[in-house]
Amino acid sequence: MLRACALALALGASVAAVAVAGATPPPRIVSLTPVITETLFALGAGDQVVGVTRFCNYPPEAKKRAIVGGIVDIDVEAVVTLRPDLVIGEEEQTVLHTLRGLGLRVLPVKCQNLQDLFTAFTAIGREVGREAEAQALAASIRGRFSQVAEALKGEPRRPVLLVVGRNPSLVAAGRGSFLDELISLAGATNIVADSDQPYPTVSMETVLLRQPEVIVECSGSMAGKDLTEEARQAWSRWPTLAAVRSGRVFVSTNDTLLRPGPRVAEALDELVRYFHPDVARKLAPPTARE
Amino acid sequence: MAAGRVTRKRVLLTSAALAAALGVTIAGAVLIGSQLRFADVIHTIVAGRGSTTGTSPETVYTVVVRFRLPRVLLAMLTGCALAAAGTAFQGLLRNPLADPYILGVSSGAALGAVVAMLFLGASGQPGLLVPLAVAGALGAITVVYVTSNVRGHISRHTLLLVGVVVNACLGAAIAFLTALASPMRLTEVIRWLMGVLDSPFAPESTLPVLAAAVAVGFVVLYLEAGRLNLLALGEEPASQLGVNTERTKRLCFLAASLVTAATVSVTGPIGFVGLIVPHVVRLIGGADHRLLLPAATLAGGIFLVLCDAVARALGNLFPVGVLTAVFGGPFFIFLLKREQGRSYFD
Amino acid sequence: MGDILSLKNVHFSYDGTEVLHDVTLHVPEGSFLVVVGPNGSGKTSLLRLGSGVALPQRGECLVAGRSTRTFGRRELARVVAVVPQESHIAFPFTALQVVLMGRAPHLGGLGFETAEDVALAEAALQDTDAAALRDRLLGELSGGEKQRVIIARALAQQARLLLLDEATSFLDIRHQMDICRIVRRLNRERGVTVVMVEHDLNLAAMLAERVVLLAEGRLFADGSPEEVLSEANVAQAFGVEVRRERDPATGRPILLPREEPTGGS
Repeated sequence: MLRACALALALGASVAAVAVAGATPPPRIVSLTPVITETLFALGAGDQVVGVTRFCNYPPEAKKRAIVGGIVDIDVEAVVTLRPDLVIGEEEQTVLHTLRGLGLRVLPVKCQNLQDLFTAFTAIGREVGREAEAQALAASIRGRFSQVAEALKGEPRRPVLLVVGRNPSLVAAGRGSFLDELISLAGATNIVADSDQPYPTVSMETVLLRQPEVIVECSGSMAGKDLTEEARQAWSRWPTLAAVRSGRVFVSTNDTLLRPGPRVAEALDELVRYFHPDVARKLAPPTARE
Repeated sequence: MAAGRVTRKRVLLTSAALAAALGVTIAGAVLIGSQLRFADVIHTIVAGRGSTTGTSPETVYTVVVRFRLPRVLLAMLTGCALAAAGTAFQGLLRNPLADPYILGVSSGAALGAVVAMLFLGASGQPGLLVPLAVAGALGAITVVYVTSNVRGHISRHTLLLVGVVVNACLGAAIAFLTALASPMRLTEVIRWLMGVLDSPFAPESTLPVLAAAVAVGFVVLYLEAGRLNLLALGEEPASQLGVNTERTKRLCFLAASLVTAATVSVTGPIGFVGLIVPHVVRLIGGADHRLLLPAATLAGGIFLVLCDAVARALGNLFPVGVLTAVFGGPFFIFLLKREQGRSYFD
Repeated sequence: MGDILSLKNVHFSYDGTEVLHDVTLHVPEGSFLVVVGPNGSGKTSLLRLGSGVALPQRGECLVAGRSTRTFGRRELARVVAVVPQESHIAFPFTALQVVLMGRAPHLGGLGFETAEDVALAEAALQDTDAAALRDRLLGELSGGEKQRVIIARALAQQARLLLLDEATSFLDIRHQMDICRIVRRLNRERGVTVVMVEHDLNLAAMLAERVVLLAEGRLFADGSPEEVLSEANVAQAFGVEVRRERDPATGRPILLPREEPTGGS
């Protein structure tokens, strides 16, 4: 008797679900930054993404969607002709105003640091009806952070420097950037943790004075292959640096270090590998998600 | 090739012809863009329904009327304003190298705009950019005017000098501020400084207000057009022919500066239009301001609408200022070489 | 006919320096006056006062019986025309367009010239033998041609008083003669009053019935060329010793420097 009721309930529920699903098609979404694209796919809403930027290269399926421009030069006509139900962009992207003015539904999110990131997951999750997935994603990331923190207990905090670009002086990750937060989580101290801006220009003098023991160049996947050699050569001119002498200058082509997104735990793992290689080896691999 | 004397009839005919050309250019420009095919748009207008590619009439309407049309109209007004101001400044300063930005107006507007973009945040106060830019421009105009006005006499050399200094100082201030910008904000600031016709900061009321400013400025300048001709002889000869030179200089400076301030605050400094369009029109139609002013104004509108259409067709990759340089520069050199041999400027 | 131009006890300062000191000068309408004097003696200032571009600090400058202070600029421009030493124009205007500018003080409404204005301008170009230059750009013309166009412009102004400021300075002798001939004809045939500032004393002697010698801002001498251009006057005003001869053909005085230019004995 109980079994029959359960079956009836399940049948009724699935009929209702099909009815609802059949009645309204899932909202079409255009994403205006790679982080938002990654998040949408991570939450399982990848099928709803109809437009992405040309920098949206993860996951691979994202590359197959229609391109609406870069990050600062979004083609408004391209967005409008895709008839999106929702456009999600970075708060700082002024094109959102134009799109709103043309009658499109717009969701601005902030993705500058880790707290922003978790807020963004929730906001995006709510929009696409996947709050549970958003919670789970946030929880798993936080879980990994705790795991790492536990493993790093008692380890010395080394001074480090993360370089994100050159203009042509060094541009580093400073206070307020998500990389700065990851540095702390990875058991190190940022030599420019006292900067005024999230991505300050740092003079070589500062670097020489503050003696980082590890230097990581975050060049991302879009930079050329020779960048690795170039970076190594640039740093080898300063043998007085502890990092250079001990061979702890790393060049990373992972985009995860440039974008605070769903894969931020991977970025943390990578940093731990650079800063505390022995601990990294002993650390258990992250529990698999989906 | 500079034609003979200017009659009322010639001015009216030329203006009518150019106005018609402008209308045609606008109609054509609205049909050009990065996504919708020409055919789609025509099909929608004619058949009233979507085309074979599935683009709905609403989408076509949104793109063509709500997105492209305001931008094309803005391009027209900006082109007209810059050309008119450039003509007036060249006449006022008796200097063929003058452009609307030479007296510091655009640097003032740029400073105001940069402050708005960097410190007030796009999300926070988008409506503040235009007012701040206008404030900056007016500030620059005031400094230049007050400094150059010595006992009621405005010296054009002082005007030029002060303008150069104001541009340099404000440029340094802008460079300083941009050093503090975040990467994304910085890119947007740089784009604005090259001149943009798609700034989302312009409020709804921009087009009518700008149109009013340009119209008023043009009327004031046109009333002085005959006197600008006489001013070309020099201040004393003009005065001896009955021109109140101080009044003419004052009116032209203020009208041209205000028109420039109005457009630069909305679009950023778009280069070349204000310098080259008056020259080209002068080479074709002669230096008489009674014809030059309306002709250059309309030609400026046509020129910028065309440049903007090309910019949009290329998917907005280049700011329109790049295209005005690419088209304007070589054409001007070609025209100048053709007229070489005639000593145009004494 | 009264005085077309009168200066009464005029004091004029420019940039803090007094340039004209207590000058009184009456120019009857229809006369031909040449003003001479060393550099800095105030000759140009005299013309600037006459055309209303400058106002005296003390004393009065009257044109057609009225103080220049009371004239509107256009009004005064209908009475007085000026031919400067040199003319430059910043933009490519043709000679006809430049001559038409002389009609500006007469134009009404939005300032477009009527057929009558054009006819006057063309006639003015004829009068100065410059009709062929009509469609040439002013910048392309030689000095002499340019001056003829500028005089045509002054003519088109239909002014009663023509002021020339060393208008023949940069011209060769032929063009100098052309200009002088035109100006004299205007005076004799049209009754235009001419006040010509000249640096060439012999030209002054040849042209004028009346010469005014200015020195250090004061009226030094005023009268016929005979009376004014004496060896003593020239020595005192210019600081140069001259010999005066008489031109046998015209009977006019000719002044020749007494010293050897190379500084002989």
